[in-house]
Amino acid sequence: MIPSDLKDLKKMLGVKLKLVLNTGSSMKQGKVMRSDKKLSDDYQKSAAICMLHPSNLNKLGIKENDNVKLKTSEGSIVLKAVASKSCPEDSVFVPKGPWVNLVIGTKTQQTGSPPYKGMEVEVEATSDKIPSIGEILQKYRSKNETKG
Amino acid sequence: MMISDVTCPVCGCGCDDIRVQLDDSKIAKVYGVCIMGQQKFRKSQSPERITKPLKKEDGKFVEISWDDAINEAAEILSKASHSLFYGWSETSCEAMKVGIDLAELTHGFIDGQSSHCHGPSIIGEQSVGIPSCTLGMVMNYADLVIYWGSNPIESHPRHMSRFSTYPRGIYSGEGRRDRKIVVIDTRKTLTANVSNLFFQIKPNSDFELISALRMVLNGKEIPDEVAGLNREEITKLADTMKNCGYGVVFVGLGLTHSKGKSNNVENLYHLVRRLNDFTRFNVIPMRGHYNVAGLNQVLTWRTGYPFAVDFFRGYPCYNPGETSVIDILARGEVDAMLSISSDPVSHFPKKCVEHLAEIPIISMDIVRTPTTELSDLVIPGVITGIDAVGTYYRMDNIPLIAKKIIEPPFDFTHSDEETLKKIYDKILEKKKK
Repeated sequence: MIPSDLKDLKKMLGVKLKLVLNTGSSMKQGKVMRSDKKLSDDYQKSAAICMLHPSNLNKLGIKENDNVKLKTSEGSIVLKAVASKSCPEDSVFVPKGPWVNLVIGTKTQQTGSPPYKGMEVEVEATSDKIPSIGEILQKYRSKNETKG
Repeated sequence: MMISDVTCPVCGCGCDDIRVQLDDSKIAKVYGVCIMGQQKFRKSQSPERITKPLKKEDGKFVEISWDDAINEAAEILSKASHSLFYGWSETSCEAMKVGIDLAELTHGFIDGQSSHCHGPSIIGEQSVGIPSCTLGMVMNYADLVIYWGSNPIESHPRHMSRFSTYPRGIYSGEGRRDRKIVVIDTRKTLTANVSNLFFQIKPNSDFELISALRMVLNGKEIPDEVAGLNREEITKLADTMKNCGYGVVFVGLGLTHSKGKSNNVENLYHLVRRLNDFTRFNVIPMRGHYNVAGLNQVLTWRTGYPFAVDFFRGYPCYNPGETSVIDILARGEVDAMLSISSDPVSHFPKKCVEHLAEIPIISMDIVRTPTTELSDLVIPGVITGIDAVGTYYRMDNIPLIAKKIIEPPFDFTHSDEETLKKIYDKILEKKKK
């Protein structure tokens, strides 16, 4: 296939960006966290997003609302890309929640606090789907057969 | 009927000026509350509220009686050799007291959200002490407010309007006009947008910037660039700090979660201590939940340690990194968990949740969450501050009484303290047999 424009070419070449992962509170995620909607789509809409500087979206050859894959030493997760000028070019911001925690490590450097901020992360465009909260829980459950 | 001065059981601001309108002993409207508080008051009235104990049988939840639920919980906890008692930040100090008794009785392990949020701030406090003040003093005196690695507009929505930025205090003049707001962050957050001065630093470089500020204050030369800021900017920041009348730094998770952790906070406390040679300066950690500071208080006066307390040997042991909840779960060292008004499945790293999925979980909560879904037993929680009265500690360690405004939607228990006491008595009964 001959790519129709530069963006498709970047996607085909599989550009990977090495950035710093920053997680924390956002207003929308905080609202869902305190509500009765933690098992609904609202949680995914507010927490399964990855905020990137617009220039990084360009480098990856993707538009806003396309999916991106975040990969750290702990694993990988698919999130929805959101352009945000508030985010510096060297890092990404993901609201805290069960999605981003799939790639957070457990080394607490003798403090009890895991690296919720500051982990190295590799970001690339992907066509994979974002797992729903039900699918994430199912995956945890299936690790152990005895539990339902 | 309108009830005034209601406390808000959500974030560390612990607002106590909320007004609630009751119609027919139901909450009709809540005034003066932020978007997060609004959700919690609404949640208390939700049709989704858990009103009956649930037990998982063949992968499905079935309703069981209250007595069976207490018996089941006691059975799980007395069978386990090392239980984890986790959560506590959204319940009363009275419930925490019983929680510590439970951990001691079962030789279990007790920890709360503070362990993986502001735990490093507490470790910093233990090593150098904390020059601190209350939020009331910030309101009445402060003319320089620094938010370091903290974004209160999104995490503590009323913090700026109630305490730090907008109110007119006794000695703080015209409110916003007479205060200088400084934000130090890696992102240009919503709070940075309303600040007077914003310093955007590189991720994982807080320690270097604090050290540079200490060097400037001590009259030492600093390099041309530190943490992404040039020498002029750092000198300007140091001068702003030195020349204020009454300064305060609010420490956010930007310091405690990134590289350096407790060392960042410790270094910052040293800086604030040094600033007191020039002017009056204080520091307050931005605690997340309304009673997350309460667990540190209650644990300290009951066991001598502020968080991460392990009773495995029969007496309290404390060693963050060894007896803290993330480490203990990552090593798979507990064989049952009682989670109270918390959602560890959503907020713990994958490796910890994988271990949780293998062990029996009892969760006490208000509505279904990812944690209740992985639980074996769900016990209806009572909301301190809405359905029950209780003590809580605000982020500046001021104890307040959370008001009760309505009855809980069930009659088998009236507070989390009562529920936990029943479980405690049942375990004791089983042990005697």
